[in-house]
Amino acid sequence: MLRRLTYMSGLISALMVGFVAHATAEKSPAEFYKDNVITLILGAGPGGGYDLYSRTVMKHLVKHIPGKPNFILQFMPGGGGQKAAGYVYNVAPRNGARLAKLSNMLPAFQLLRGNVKYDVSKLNYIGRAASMQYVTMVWHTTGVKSLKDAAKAKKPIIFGASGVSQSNYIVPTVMGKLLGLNVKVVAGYPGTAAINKALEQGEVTGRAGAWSSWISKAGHWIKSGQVVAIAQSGLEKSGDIKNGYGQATPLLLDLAKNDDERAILKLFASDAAVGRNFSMPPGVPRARVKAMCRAFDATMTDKAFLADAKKRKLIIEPKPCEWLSKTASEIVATPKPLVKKARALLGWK
Amino acid sequence: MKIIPMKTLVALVAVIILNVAGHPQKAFASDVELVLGTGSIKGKLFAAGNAISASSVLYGKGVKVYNYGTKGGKDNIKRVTKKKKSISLGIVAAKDLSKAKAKQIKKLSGLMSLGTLKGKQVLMIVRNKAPKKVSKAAYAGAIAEVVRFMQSSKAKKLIKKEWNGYAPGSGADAFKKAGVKIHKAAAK
Repeated sequence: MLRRLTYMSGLISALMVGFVAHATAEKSPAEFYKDNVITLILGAGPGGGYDLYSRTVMKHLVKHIPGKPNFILQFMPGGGGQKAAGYVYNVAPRNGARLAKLSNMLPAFQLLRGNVKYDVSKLNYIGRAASMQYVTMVWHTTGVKSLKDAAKAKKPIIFGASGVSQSNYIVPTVMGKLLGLNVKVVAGYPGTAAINKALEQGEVTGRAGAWSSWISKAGHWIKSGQVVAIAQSGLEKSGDIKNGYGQATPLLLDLAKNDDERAILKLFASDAAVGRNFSMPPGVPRARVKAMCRAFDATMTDKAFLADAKKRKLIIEPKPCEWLSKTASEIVATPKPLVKKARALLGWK
Repeated sequence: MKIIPMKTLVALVAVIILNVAGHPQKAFASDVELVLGTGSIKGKLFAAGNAISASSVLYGKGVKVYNYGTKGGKDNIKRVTKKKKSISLGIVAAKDLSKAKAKQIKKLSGLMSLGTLKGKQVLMIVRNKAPKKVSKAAYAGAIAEVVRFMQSSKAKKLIKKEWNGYAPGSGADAFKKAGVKIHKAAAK
């Protein structure tokens, strides 16, 4: 009798759990988001580009999400974005109430560093607000006005960088190794502001940085010709970036001598393409991911959002979630021998 | 001209009032956004910070608190008092606050006591200077609102779920001991 009772109560509990789970999963995006607060997890601290893009996008995105939820931000810096990525991938609830603004370096990190606690091909991307085209700039006193001039330079161009796994280190190092430029890269600067100061003081003579960062933090140098663009790194060429002779700067990817070099350069340029991306943890119900993707697309064409972005001097070059997911998957599918070569190029084991 | 009967007019006004006041306002056009430095993302105070953040949009009016996973109390004092990329609110142990430099103490005020964690009193401090593009009056109003909603029973319930030791109070003795002046809007 007791056994039967235990069996029955177990069965009832299982049925109830199943019913509750089913009811939660079955909630339409509008029903679900109406009662929820969306948390956007940022892989950086407040006050920088991540923060600015996140606040601007979220303010308008919530208007386009069915159910019009409210939102909060959660800053989770550490390990160049690795901490937040690990949290979003492994710990964050998978119900659709968590969004993430993670590092654009994650796909490259996953391949080059290995041993990471996430798989970018399984993240649910919802869209990209802007690319992070990397532009290599040199200080005017070097006399270098183009990539051709840089190839002929007798004195090495000294690039300032923050860390060996950052784009400001990777881009000039790769340029030096693949294009045979006379460059030296000095890592250890705490950030962009410190490198810019070093440029001004003549400690370094070059820096590779995101175009958006150059415009917002050193636009006056570009206008006055104190810094000169010599190359750009990304998957697509931007015609707006001119060298010292007023010509469009070359895209590093176009300078590859063979397919292998092209694949390696594509891997290094992936961070620019992934850019200012927004995503959700893996395992979120498909209908909610889809609703979020379409809400993101609608935000990117929202006049009020575009006006807000312009006011804050933010570059907007949107791409939909499908494009971003495909790009991330392509990057992580780079053949292993090429990844090995890319690592060797950077001097990584 | 057709005159609307008094009864209809009263009913109409009542419907409008109920529609406006009956539902919680989802977003304010000019919400003041404040960043709260908590602690390690694996710790209790970070989890409590998430609950405070959620409470700000659920039970607060015109203010949004964003949780920032920092290195802890000493780091929060640094971030609240630094010149660039500073934060407005910070959680700090009373012991750490008493060790803060005089230069730092000048730039912050005591807001409230949050409770105890591992037997240590936990306090909330606030930056004296308003964030960029936020007026002094709006900042003062937002800080007062933080104190108000954090003492509301609904917020208390939500925060207690994450941190059982949450027991908001004035913390006046601890602030006095550390030589920190108390904010005008501080909890009584």
